[in-house]
Amino acid sequence: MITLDNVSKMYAGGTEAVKEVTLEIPKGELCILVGPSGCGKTTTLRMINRLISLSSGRILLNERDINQMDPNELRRGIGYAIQEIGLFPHMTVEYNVAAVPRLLGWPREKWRSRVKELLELVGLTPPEEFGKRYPSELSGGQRQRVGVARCLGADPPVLLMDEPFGAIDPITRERLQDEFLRIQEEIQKTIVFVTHDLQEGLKLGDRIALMRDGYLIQEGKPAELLAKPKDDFVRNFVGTDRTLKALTLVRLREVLDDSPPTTEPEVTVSQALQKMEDHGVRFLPVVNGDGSFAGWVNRGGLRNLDGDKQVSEVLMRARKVGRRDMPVNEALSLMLESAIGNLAVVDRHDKYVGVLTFRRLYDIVQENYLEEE
Amino acid sequence: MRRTLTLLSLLAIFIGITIWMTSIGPIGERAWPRTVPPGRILSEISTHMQLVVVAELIAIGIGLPIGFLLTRKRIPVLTRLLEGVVNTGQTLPTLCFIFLFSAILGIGREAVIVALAVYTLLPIVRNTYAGIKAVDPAIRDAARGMGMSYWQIVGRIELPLAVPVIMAGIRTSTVLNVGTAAVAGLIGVGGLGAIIAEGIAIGGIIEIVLQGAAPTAALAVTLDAVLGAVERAVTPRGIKGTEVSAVA
Repeated sequence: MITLDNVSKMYAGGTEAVKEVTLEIPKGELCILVGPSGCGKTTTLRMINRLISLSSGRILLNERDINQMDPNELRRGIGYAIQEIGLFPHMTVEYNVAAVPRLLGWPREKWRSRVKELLELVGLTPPEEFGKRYPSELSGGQRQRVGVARCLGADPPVLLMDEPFGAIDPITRERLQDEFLRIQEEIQKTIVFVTHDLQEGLKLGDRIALMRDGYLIQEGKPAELLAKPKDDFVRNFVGTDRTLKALTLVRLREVLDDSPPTTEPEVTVSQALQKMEDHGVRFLPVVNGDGSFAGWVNRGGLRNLDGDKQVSEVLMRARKVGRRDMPVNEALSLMLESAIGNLAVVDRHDKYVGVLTFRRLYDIVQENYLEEE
Repeated sequence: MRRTLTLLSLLAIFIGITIWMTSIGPIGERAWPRTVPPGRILSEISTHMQLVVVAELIAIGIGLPIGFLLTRKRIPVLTRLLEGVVNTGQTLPTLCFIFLFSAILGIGREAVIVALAVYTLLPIVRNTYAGIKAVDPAIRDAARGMGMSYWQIVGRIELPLAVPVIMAGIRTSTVLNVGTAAVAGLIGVGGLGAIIAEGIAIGGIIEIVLQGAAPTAALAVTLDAVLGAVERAVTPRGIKGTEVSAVA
């Protein structure tokens, strides 16, 4: 756990980079420090491993005051990754990743197997081959991976990361973020992560601390920040499309509606119409006997048809279905693309689990993300 | 590869000239070409080398620490002062140094060695400074952030990365020194310059002058090649291929 207690940084010239920041990062959480450039987020980060000294206040690492600790020992216990990566060009990937373990005097076999493990974790396989390369022989994305592996070197409980995915192309960046989330799920480190990119923060962060001019303006879960911006600065920073951004944080499984009645492909058109009338709905999802989704029927479409026909002959097949774990913004996109306006949701085994309608989406947004005017 | 070939052929030419000049002894009445005995040339080469090597070692011993100190930002006044001295020092001609130190120390080996060392100091200081300064600050930041101590950063990061540039400085200055040391012959300290001086003194006899000049050139080319090999050998593999040029 990291505790920042009234932390300030004043430089000799009198400029205050960080002003009375109080922040608590619980064990195992990833806290994003975000804000415009010059807001003090990097300074705050660098004070945690004492690369920058505090002017006032205290920082506690697992209840221990960092100022009472030897700075080099403190730093060896904290993983550190920066945007420029700073790989040692005269050392192989293996020695780069093993830098901290070797500083700590691990025996050779121990750090070797650790390096292998880490290179596999960050997807640089086969590790035997990548371990022998020099940084100049790697692509930008691969270097970032080595940077991440290196900061995990001695398995520190705490990581400090300063825009670790900053200097790469958007596609690689997206992929590294996804992998990083997967890694974090596995290793559960306490992480302070600096970025200027809100989208990245929303995607990765368990909590987000928004800074401006050295002050911590608002701190909370990503959804809270989007739903309840504290002032105009936060509102501007999260942007007028904050509702759409909020949808990226919600998974379909959290909002899907499993209450609407369904029908089977074997029933007749008149039976289906009867069912819609009974339930007061205008459409029915058609679900096969094995639980898979077959398509849609709606009242307007069936009304003029021969009532004895089977639903299977007349149903509208849906080209796209939503998956339970899909972020709702992607689901919305699918809904806008399809002519039907409703989205059937299936689980991992392609079994139908419910629907998402525009009406439902609207209600959710109204409920959670609309400020009182 | 092309560079090595050029060096080797130059060397062959210089050595060839020397051997040719010294091997044809005087035939009958003809006193041409007049030659310097091979033993004499070898002993002058040895003197010459001593001057160069001793001066170079002194220069490295002093220049490396100074160049290193200049990169430490804790002493800005000293830094600026030294930088000034180093920069203006290099604009003075070598001869000035030799005469200056001869005036102080008296004409002799010591004066020549000190003059050579001081002149050689400059490229070494500058290259050491430039080599360390050129280390990417992000690398230093990463090293510090992972808990390397001050001297671990110096020893494991800064110096290894600066080595190619420092070596380039040593190499340039050594070659420079071989030529400069020839001037020592003019003031009677010996070395290959002595043969050149004699050739000039007895009426500008070109083949004698050449018998001093050609070995001097051969020596410079050889040392350049040897130090080039050393430079490549001490350059860490990961930074090979990145072009390193002498800053001096």
